[in-house]
Amino acid sequence: MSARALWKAVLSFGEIGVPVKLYAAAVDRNIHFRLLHKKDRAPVRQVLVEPESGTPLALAEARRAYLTAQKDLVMLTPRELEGIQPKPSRKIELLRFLPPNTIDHRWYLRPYYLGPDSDLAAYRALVASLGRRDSVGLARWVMRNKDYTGVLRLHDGYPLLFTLRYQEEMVSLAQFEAPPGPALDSAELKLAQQLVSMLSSDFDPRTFRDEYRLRLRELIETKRQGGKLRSLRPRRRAGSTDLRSSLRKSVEKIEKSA
Amino acid sequence: MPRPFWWGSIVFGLVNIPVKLYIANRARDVALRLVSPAGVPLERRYLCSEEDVPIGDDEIIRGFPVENDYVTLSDEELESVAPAKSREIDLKLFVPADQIAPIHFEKEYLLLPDKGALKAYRLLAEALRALGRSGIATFVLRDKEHLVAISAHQGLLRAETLRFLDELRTPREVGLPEPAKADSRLEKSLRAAIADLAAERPPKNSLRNPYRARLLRLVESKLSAGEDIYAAPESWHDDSGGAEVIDLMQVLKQRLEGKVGKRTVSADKDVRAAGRSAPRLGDQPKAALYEQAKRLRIQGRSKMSKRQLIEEISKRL
Repeated sequence: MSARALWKAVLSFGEIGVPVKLYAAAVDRNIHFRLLHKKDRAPVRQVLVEPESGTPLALAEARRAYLTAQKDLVMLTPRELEGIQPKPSRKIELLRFLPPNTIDHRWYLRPYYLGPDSDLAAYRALVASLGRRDSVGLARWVMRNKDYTGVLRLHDGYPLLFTLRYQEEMVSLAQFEAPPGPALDSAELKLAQQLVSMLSSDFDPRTFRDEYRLRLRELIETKRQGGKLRSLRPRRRAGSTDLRSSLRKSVEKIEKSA
Repeated sequence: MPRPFWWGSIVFGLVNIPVKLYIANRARDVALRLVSPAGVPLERRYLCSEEDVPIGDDEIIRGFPVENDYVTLSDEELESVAPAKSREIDLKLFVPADQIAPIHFEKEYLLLPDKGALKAYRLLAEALRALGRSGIATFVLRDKEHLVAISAHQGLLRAETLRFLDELRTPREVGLPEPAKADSRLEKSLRAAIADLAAERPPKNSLRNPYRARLLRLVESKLSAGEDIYAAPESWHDDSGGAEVIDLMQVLKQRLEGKVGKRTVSADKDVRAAGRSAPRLGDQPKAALYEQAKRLRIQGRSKMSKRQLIEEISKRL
């Protein structure tokens, strides 16, 4: 069964356009709760009120304001806000093709698969061309009244468009030096590397499951049938003081069990 | 002053490294506040949909819809399904860092050494860097179990949450066509177009938020014209809200630049002192304190008075 497309667009490489459909590649599997009034278990609803008088106000009547660093609220009229909206467009413009690590995955926000729309031949040419080059496309577009930047690349042979965080949202790590201190003890470093190596294997995402989500489902099911629950409390251990002996014991422990 | 988002320990064999976790990305600062036509900030309140009366936080429970009813869960019940070791990131597996496909990465956090952990922290960071590996573990953060990759980055440990496989769709589920041979003429012209766009760096300012630039221009023109400006409520003045990034950098500097040993401890004290003088807990509304108590997983918070909440929160800061 195929998924429903979120949006239709045309990838634009200069003169050439490739019509595509966007599909969410990540899905929300979290368990969501409704907020209820304790007394009658009726769902609560949110309203906007003036805090002093408690007078409710319809969302359509509310205004929007920007809070400055000096803690002034600058009220913006609906017309002014309209004026700074991006212009609607179906075009996803490819700005550049860059070496893959120029924009590292810290910038990536959400992944979308691209599927063909009306022109399968152009889509196949897109997949083939992306596969031929070790570079990723930097794109910019407007979707549902919002500006986006994104990265176009292949994932397992299928085209994927990642939306990006904006530069203003990124904390630049470049200006930080490594935590200073005396040179690391080479014997300890060797032990630490040995321990990492002993515990190494290939990354296989199939081996991980969201156990918490499964337990939460079970809890809901138990409660639905009127069952009782037991409680577990988190705890914290103290930091290790004798680093070298802890590392050595760790290595020995794994060697024994191997 | 950003509070650590989470505190706990990295467990590496028998070595235990106490750490604090900070969010590495700041929220978009373009979010606008809702105000009344007279410029008064509006608040959200909960109303009971049956009775149409306002209800307080402690009268609200969480329900999961089943058939025609809800299964309700208390905070304590929710916490009971979190694993016993939820304060630990237990590194039992290391993988080559480049084997984790970008589609898995979700959100980035920075891990900073807690008191006395600097040496072990540096050792782990150096071992991961030298071997090009990431440690993989699961841990519970904010009511959700996360799969996390711990990697070294310029001597810092970064923790990135990973999407579980069932949170990702496969191309087959989406219904994408199987790979097939492309028309060579079309492919050739597209490859030429891509080659024309090849560059080493993104164009200047292309990674910035264009909406933010337009919004700030608009705000500035209104500020200089002196139009539609209202003072924010007094209570917002100590709110550190917008300055989180700068603060995170200060914390990083204080935590990392202190020399090992005694000096590290005194740097910690400075951080703590700064934390106390910044937003005074007593000035915050009870709802905000409750939210903070929730983040800190303080048990029994729903039954606490404001004074008790302050007491419990300050113990943990």
